[in-house]
Amino acid sequence: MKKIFNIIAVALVVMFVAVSCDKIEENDYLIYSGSSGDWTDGARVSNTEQRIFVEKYTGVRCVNCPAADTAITKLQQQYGHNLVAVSIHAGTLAKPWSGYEDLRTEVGDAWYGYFGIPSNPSVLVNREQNNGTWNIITDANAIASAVEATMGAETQVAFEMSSAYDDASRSGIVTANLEFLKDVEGELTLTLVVIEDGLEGKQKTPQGDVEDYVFNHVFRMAITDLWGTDIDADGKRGTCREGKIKFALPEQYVAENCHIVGFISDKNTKYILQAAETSVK
Amino acid sequence: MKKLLVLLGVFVVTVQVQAQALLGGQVTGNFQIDAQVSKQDSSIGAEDVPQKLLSNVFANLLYTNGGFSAGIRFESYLDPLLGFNSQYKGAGIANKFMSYQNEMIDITAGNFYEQYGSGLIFRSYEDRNLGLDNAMMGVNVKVRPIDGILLKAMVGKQRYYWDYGKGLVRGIDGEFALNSLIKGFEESKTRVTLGAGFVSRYEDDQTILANDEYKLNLPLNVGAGSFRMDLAHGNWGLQAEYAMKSQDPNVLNNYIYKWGDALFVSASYSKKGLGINLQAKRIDNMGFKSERTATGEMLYINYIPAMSKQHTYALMALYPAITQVNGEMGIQADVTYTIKKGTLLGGKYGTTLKLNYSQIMSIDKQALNDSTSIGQKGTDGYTSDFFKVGDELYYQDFNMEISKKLSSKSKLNLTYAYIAFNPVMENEQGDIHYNNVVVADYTYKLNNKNVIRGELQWLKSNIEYFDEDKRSGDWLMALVEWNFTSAFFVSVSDQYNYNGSKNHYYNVSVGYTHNTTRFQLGYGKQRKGLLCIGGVCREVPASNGLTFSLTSSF
Amino acid sequence: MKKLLVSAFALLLSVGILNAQEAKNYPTIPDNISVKSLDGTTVQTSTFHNDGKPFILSFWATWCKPCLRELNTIKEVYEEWQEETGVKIIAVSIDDARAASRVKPMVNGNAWDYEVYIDQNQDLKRAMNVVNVPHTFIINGKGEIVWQHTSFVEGSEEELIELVKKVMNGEDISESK
Repeated sequence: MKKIFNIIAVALVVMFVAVSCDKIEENDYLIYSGSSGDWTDGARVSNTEQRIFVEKYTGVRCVNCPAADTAITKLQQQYGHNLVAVSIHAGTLAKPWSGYEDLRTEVGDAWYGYFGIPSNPSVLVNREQNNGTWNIITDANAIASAVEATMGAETQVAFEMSSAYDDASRSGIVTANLEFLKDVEGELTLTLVVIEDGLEGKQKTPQGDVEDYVFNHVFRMAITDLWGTDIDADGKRGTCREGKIKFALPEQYVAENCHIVGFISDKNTKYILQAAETSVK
Repeated sequence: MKKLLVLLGVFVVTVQVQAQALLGGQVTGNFQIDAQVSKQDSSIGAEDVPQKLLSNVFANLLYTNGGFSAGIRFESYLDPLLGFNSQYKGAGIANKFMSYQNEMIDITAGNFYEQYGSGLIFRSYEDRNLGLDNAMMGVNVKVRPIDGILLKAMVGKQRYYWDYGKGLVRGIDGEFALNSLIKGFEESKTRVTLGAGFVSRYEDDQTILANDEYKLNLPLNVGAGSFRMDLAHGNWGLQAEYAMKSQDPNVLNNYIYKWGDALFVSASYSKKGLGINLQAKRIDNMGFKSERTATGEMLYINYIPAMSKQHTYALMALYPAITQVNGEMGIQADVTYTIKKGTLLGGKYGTTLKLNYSQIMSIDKQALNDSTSIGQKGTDGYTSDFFKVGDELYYQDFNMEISKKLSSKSKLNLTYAYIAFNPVMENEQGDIHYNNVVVADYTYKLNNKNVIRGELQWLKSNIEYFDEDKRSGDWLMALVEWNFTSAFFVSVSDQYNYNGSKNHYYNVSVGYTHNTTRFQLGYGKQRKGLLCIGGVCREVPASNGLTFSLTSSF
Repeated sequence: MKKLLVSAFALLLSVGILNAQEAKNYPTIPDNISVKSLDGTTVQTSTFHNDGKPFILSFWATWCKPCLRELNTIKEVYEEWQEETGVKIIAVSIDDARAASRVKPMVNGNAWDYEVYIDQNQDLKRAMNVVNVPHTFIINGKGEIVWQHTSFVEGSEEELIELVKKVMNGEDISESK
């Protein structure tokens, strides 16, 4: 009886060991899966910080815009990379006269029009709406309180990006990783844009013209469509997705000073759930 | 949170009364509250804490009645302390279990902690200071069919913050004490224990791209097995464990298909007054997690400790060894020697000497062929000569400690360490740091109730200070502590990066202990850095403010 | 902070009530937990006893400085204690794989004469609600936990032996410091 018990026990162990590891032959490691640009299952996102997206509509001939720059710079010092700032030159006051840089873009103008920006400076935080109207902040002093009110919300989607950039071809590929920490309803899109730091040029200020004003996080171009590319994910808690998107950087932008900003927004309401920033190089 | 705690308190009392009145048995438990207030301090890189007050709370309740026991653990992180992952945010019952045990069998359903051998293939454990909890959720069975045999089997999933990992983990293990099993060997001076274990992980398939056009063909079941032995003969001891892991492309090894293996050997000789221990290990591609895409400290199925002494003096622990699961070879020698009382060197009370040396190197890695780079995704990765030591030094530590009781009232402890630290262990670039560290630790007993202790520490580094890191450069540290019995203490300390950032990290703390209740309040600055326990590390951001801690068990 | 203090107080209060109730109903040490002896043999906690006399159970670790101070300080007086009271010390190391194989050389190197076990999986530590080491228990002749304490400082060993003597005389020490 005891012998039988022993034989059964040994047999069970051998069976367990034998079935519990799969062997894959060397020639079968890879499976053809189609081209990049698809969304695939990704890794867990270790950084689960909730970041907010602050877009500022500004102009080189806008006297009050430097005050908004100062306010946002101060907030960035306070919140670090939890605040992702983009500076969009658009509107009448962004039109260059002689001596001023033209920092406008088609996409910037399109957003300016879509959101009904009344004047410069104007700031949108996460493209939030208030009773159906865009929550546009036109007073530089009110930016801090708007940011504070939004900061610290619970993370719904953890989001990280990295960029692999090839100097020779001035092209690269952005890898976006996201993990749903909560169930999220609605269709989501990912918008990727390029911003550039350290541009110098003439800017009107209350003290008169400043010739070598430094423009930071200047919106340069959208890598995706201006309303983003669809994120192929079911929105269920625990889902991790990875998307790869190629981009090419025009000659006139300095790659070292360029960053890629990505934000995840609701396709219908345009509300931004999460944002991230990574340097191009 | 207050309400929760009050409720919990009431719950504890109620359960206690009910359980004891109705069923007999006993309720015991423990709790721990840690709270922190930190303010912005740009000089040390401490960020603003908008929530103002952060706290972590743990409470364990354990009910036992004969062989039956059950327990729950309440945890709350509202919001988590600085450095703890934000996914911990929340409160609730984190762990729960029921178990029954007698001399023959031990069954646990729910959350459990278990370890096979030294943990090379399986160890689920908890380290609160690291914010690490790998508790299994499932069933664990241990059987002792006859004296000398211990069999274990388990199945479950691993805790992942407030969730569970995707992988299903199963394992079996057997341990055989030959002295009890072989006739005539019972009373032998040689004790022999053999063991073997096997663990397997199942995880659903998923898409992981190898390049633009190909994805990986993933093994869904990954197995790891190990053999071990423990020999003791009088003063001598020998322990060894060898483990292997099947193809496991995962984010840690950059998705290569190479088999992993690990060897750990430890030999010791000791007699009264002398202890010698020699260890060697080799790790190759042994990162084993219950999710192939998981990074960070969570979801490890196995445990590979760093093979070096765990330093407790602050400046000696500034550059800790960090386990390289993808490959490392290490040796360690450790000697403890007590010079007898009444001899020339021993003096009136005897002197204890400790010597320790450890060195951790990379393993040999050769490319598979000319067209494949080392560690390339979707290949066998590399080949490695088992006995060949790699070129790169990860960590080296020579340290010695002399402890001497000078008189009936005073004790002196002198420690010296030479520590070489390669930043590559933290995935950072840079030159190897070579540090010399000296510590003097002096205790003086004023009378039976009052004890004063002081520490002086000095770290001299070969690396010039560079910003961002807040660690490089030279350091001085002083600490004074006054104890009134074991009930009360006050301590004041300062760590000064005098040749470097010039930052002072001063700290004042007071503590009060009554039986098992311990209360501690501290104020000061905390350097940003790595908190490492057993080679597992967590990043701790800089902070400046108050900390409060209360622990108790009942 | 205030909230926290209130909560802490609430908990303390409940603990206080518990302690009061437990005055004559001491918890016992767990029976069937396996630990390893220094020669690698598995030992059940049911074998922890001192022939009807009290014993001291102390949790420690190789990396814990106060623990080493405690065990080294007691070493000096241990012989005296044993002659006087017959008390025994069981020292349980909670070291994991990193240092478990160094426990035996360390015990011998320091010339400790205690009964030493290794609780590598920390089963006993959890079952006895040990949060931090050192954590020291006094267990009476019936296997009941009559007193426990965390932390150590030079001089506390004298309180410890005084308490052991009281336990031998059958006094209730659950309220003692």
